[in-house]
Amino acid sequence: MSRALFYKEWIKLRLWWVLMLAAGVAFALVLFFKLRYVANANEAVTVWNAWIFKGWLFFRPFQYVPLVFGVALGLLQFLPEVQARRVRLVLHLPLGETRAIALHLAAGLLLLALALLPAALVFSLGGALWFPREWQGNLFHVLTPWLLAGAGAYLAAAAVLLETNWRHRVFYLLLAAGALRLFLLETFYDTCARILPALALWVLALVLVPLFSSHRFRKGLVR
Amino acid sequence: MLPVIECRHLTHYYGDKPALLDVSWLLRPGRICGLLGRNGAGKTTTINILNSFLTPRSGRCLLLGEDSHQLAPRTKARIGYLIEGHIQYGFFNINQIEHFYSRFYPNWTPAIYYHLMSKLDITPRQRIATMSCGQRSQVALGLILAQNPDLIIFDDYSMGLDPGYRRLFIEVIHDYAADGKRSILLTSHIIQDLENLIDDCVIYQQGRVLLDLEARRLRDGFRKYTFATTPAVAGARDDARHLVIERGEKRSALHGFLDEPAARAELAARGIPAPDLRPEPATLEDIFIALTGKY
Repeated sequence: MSRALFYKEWIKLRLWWVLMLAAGVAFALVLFFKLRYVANANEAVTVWNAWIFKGWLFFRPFQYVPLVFGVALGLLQFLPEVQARRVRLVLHLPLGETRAIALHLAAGLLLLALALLPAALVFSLGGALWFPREWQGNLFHVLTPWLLAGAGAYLAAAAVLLETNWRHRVFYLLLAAGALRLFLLETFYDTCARILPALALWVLALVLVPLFSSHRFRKGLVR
Repeated sequence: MLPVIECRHLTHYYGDKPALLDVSWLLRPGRICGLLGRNGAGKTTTINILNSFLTPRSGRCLLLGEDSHQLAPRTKARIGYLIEGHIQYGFFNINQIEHFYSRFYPNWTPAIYYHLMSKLDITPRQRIATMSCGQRSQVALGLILAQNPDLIIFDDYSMGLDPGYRRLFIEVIHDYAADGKRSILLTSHIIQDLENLIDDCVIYQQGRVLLDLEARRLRDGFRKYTFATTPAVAGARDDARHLVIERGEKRSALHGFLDEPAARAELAARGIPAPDLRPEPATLEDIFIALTGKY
């Protein structure tokens, strides 16, 4: 049954997912070539100096891409479900309602991760050509909050769409916007290192919001 | 035998507006029941409660013996549900959607589905979103029948269908239920389609059960008599006795569970002369309109 739900989500999203994947990789490659140009045009020590003392991150323009992808994927996945209240089809399937919605969220998060992973690999492998091994750790610490912001934005979009009460929707939007702002603060390499677990927990907690919305839908607490 | 559906004292309000008021009825196994009513009578509210998309203010529904809000997955697998407007996933083609649903139902019979699909003028790769309303209705119907459910709920199956597809829909349901093992609840505003289909009839009026009867007894017992309109004729309605007097311009009508002598006696008791009283044939739709009114 889980595979069947993943199959449904794949058929629904595959075209958009491929476009996202291509856009993410293309953007990452553009940033990589830009780094290569800078590294070739300057001495390596200049690049290192900019990296260590000025906090220059060649992949910083990528910061908002996970967020945009997360919102887009949430809309593309759940808009067809809420149009004509089609989500009733899923809720009527012979499996637990919470499980059904949770599987949808799992499918969305998986597709989001798979759409962003190749771009992260481009940064990691590309950066390794000019930067030392420690740089990989910096990349992880800087990139992870952005990726978590993408996951949070996806969950918030899902919650807003599954919710049918406007007051709840506005509340979720404000909550998500305020919280996700934290994920995208101007970071210097290890700024977020210590709070990464807290950010991850926050995103994990966000999973409950769309589940709660779908539960309210299910119980008819929507009017 | 345990009822397939049992509504017990359902009451629900939207704000202060009552939608259902102490509604109770049941569907016995192997029967086809028409849940009828004017717009806003409470049919959809009942269907939403049955499918647990709405929690009633009081009362409860049992489906196949289980509370409709706490159905076990294996019980859900025994219930087919056609959503109003034949809602399905438009991004699938007919093979993909069959592949998807087949994984959820242990008694899945693809032959039923593909037999229906073979009658449609569609290509195997055509997405459901690009099909006509009638074609989509057949896809939705085929998917439900392929589940081999014990109970099917059709919510306004006729919505948006042309007469051909409506007839086809009814014929398919009729054939499917012919073995007497399936229980079906359906709602529709096209009453004449249900004339020879339903076994039982529950009619709602303003959130209450106006009538709950075998369709045969309704057709055989409920009569319409007409008589010349005179100044003595006044419109009247007695919901408790299901008796209606309609004043017409030239001829008026008396509707009710009355044979001819009883009809004459009823009119005489009301001081209405009806020397030319004569019975008229009445369809299920006539009966429905007589009972629920035109306005």
